[in-house]
Amino acid sequence: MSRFCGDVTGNLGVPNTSRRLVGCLASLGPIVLALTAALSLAGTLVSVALTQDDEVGAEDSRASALIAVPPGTRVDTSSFRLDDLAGTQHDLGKTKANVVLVHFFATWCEPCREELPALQRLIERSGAADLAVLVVSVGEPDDRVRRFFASMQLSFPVLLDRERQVAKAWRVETLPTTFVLNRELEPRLMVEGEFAWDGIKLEELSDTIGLHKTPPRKDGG
Amino acid sequence: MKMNRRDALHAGLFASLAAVLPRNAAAQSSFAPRPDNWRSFEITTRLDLEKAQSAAQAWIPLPAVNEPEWTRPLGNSWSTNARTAVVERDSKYGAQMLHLEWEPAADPPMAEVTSRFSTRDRAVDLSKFGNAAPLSEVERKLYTEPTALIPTDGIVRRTADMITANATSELAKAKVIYEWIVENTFRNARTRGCGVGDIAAMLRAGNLGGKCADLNALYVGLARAVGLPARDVYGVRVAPSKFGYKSLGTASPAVTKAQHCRAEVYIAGMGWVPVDPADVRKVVLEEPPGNLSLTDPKVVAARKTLFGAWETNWLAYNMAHDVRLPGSSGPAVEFLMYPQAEIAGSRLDSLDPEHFKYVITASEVTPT
Repeated sequence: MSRFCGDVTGNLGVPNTSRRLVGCLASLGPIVLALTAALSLAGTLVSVALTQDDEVGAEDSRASALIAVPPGTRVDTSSFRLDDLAGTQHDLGKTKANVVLVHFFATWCEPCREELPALQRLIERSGAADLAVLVVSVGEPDDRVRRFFASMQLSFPVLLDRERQVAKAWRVETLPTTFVLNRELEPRLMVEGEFAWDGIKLEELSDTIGLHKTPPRKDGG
Repeated sequence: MKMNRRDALHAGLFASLAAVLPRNAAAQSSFAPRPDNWRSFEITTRLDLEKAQSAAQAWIPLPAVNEPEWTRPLGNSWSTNARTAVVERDSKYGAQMLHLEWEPAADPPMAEVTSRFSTRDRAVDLSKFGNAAPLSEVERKLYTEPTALIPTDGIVRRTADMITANATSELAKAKVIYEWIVENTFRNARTRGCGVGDIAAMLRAGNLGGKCADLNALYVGLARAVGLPARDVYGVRVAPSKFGYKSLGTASPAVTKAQHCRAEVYIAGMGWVPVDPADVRKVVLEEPPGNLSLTDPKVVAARKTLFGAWETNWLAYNMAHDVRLPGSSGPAVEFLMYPQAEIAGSRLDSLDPEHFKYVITASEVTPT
């Protein structure tokens, strides 16, 4: 199984740590090379985030570090089978989309409350064929999560990681944490802390994770 | 040691904390719990679950902390229409709970559990070391080890090491961690319940807001990370503060949402020292008129007192973490401070008593 680096360097001197983007590296990967490669990829997302801040008149508080995952790094999708709120099991390995966001959250996490609707807006302007969003509740009782979402109109599944097993396997150390996977389900980016998804276009995400350089996935059938 | 930006922030705040305490402010208020008279209380938890076609079960915490110096459980009684009602005991920490089970399609499940206990205030003389019994190796291991949400390595250890870098004694370390919590955290009114106490996440996110289960767990984790035995004590407030702190007591016999957890740190020679930095932050936020400064006399008095003393207008249930609920296939609870229940194997939201539902009331029953 590939391993993530959770406590990575590469913070680009950002004043607001809660909005930092950190990269996700294979544990055996050459960090320096990854950093170098990441910085070029980082430009798009970071600049988008800053643009949005400028538009709303906010102070510069969101610029973040971003490190790309070396190509070929994989997550253990085989253990990612989680029930949704209706009791239907979801298997990450069967998820088909050009970009897959796996978003770990908790109802007690304040930034998560604002980020979930932003993810919904992202998927609405992206189209279901291009983007799949899986949000994963970490360590909370079903009823609490169900009530939390009762008033939200969300089109993506809310999955229940009741025992935190997936979060532990993916080395999630703070909430929210989001992984951006390509259509091969390779993790390419990691966002630790909340992120301004409203400032991102799917095309930019796709470009950043190198989607357009990847040959089409052979799904069989 | 490598120091990142957040570490530097922590260190800077730590360095500045000594500068904000006015020298004579503590004398402006009297918040002085003393271990004098014992008081007795009765607490009743009334549980009413919705009628369901599936089996239901519930777990109601019972007082299980028995410390001759300050708290004694006096027994439990209950009435219920459950098929079974059994007192269960957590094998690791000794937490106790009443485990109730109902048949499918039974009448709406109900239970009413009443517990009595006696308690008196605590105050440890921090100016001298006594002859408190040393901890056994088993106890020392139990109260220095990590829990699911309280790791003692990584960012917790790094933070603790920075905070205590200049502290040379156990007591100095315990105190400087306490002051650091008071200085650097805040009570967040939006936090549900008492929080969850995911302290590594708090530190990594740089968001040190929360409530007692967050802030006092942070104290416990930082203390354990530098080798100090420490433990959370989970309970519920049962009476007003006799020292006039509205924020640190109940306003009525209804205590359904009055859960509160505290912390203890073990100092050789002194024994378990009560601390409660989360309540200092509660005074800051909630004591009228609200949003007090750290130099407000009420805050200064609370800050001075709550390292070494507790007013025990409060019931201590247990000191348990990661509690498996007997008969449940669901996840362990981070701590057992709220009633828990499941219908058809689905865990109810213990932080939502109106829908759950449960009501907790308390009254003093001290003989006159």
